[in-house]
Amino acid sequence: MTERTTVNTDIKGTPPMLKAFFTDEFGKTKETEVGLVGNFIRWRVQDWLGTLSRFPTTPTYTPTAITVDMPEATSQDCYSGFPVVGKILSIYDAHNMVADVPTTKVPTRKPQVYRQAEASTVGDDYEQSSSTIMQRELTRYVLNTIDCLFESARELYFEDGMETDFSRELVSVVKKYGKLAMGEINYLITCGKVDEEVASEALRWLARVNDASTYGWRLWVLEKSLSSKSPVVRDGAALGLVSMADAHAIQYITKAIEQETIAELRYDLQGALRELEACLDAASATGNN
Amino acid sequence: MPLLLRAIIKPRWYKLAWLEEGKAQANALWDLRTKENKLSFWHVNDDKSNLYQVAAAIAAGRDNPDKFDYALFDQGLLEKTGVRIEQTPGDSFHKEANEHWHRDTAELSAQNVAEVANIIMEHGTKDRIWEKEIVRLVKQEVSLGVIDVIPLKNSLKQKGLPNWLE
Repeated sequence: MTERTTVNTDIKGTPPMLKAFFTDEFGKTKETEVGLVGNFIRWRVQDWLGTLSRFPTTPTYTPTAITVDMPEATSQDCYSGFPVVGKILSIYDAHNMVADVPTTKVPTRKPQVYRQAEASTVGDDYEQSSSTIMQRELTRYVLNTIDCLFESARELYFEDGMETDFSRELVSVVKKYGKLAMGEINYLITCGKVDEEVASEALRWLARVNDASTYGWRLWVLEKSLSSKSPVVRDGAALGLVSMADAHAIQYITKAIEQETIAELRYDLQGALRELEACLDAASATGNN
Repeated sequence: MPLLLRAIIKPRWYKLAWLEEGKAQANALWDLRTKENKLSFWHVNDDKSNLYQVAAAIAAGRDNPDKFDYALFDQGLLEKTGVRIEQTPGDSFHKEANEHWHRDTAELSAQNVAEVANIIMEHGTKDRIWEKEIVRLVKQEVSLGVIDVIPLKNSLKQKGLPNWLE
């Protein structure tokens, strides 16, 4: 259904898909950040203001997010099951390189929810559909858990070096749900959907999570957050990158220093760069011995 | 004139473009949370000779090794506002710091707290000691016997310090 092209990226483990270009029913091209959730692609309804409703009289509720499976999303006709219709033209990674393109015209599809209902009478399809439903329920649960976690942390008082219920739960959820959790966390932080102090605290703890499967996601969100509008978030990102001690971050911190307008933060970013380089030198010296 | 130190989170004290000169962000008040109308500080000699010992004393009480942000300002500036400063026992794991360097400001009004914020903002030094240096300082104080190692959190003891007790 789709042809996945190899992404020539120099970011190890970087999430391959971050941005998508869509056309709506008028053929107007739109761009939005998307999250990759396992084999599912996800985007937010609020990113789609102005998108035509296919069924303008429904629904009676307002969905906040849409998750569709990857082949569905990258097919020529994308139905979400919600009254938002569009088609994905291509999906780009962090370096604006095409990561996924639809290659085959797929026959007109019925919305996912209808297909699931129909499939419920057929053996294999039923199993696949059940799996899909379970995946969606899990996704909904994890996303809700993370949203509540960040929301409840707004009133917490954060201190350097001190654990909180938020930090413990954040680390736990990332270890348990991996990329599924990181997709939502990255969305909340990079789109500025959460309190800046909470985001900063989250970045610092994300850097300390001992989990190889989410390493690229965590490195990415830290590097991306260096260009956050919030200086609090930029500082948290730099501190996290020092903790991760990855040479890849040097170019991002260097760029952040050049662009920083707050003198005190620029000074701290310079300090972060020195610390990071010292860590790498020490690791290199240890490795050479 | 001696100095007073307060642990802070530096970004809460950045001079943001919309702030009036010498005024602190409202978020800075998070770093000046009072208990029983008291605010706790640490005394630092005017030549800053005990600065790193005080930093180690505070950092040793944490759950994990981390950077240490602090504000340092002239004690006289606070005294001029009428705030009473008294020496009280500290509750860190650093014996010398507890005995000699802990200070409390009692009977503080909300106005006093705002004045402290503006003094720090206008006249104070805000700086950061990085995590690696903090770990080294704590270890140094432990080796000198002034910080008791037993109550320290394991995460702090184990952070790159296999020879902690040597």
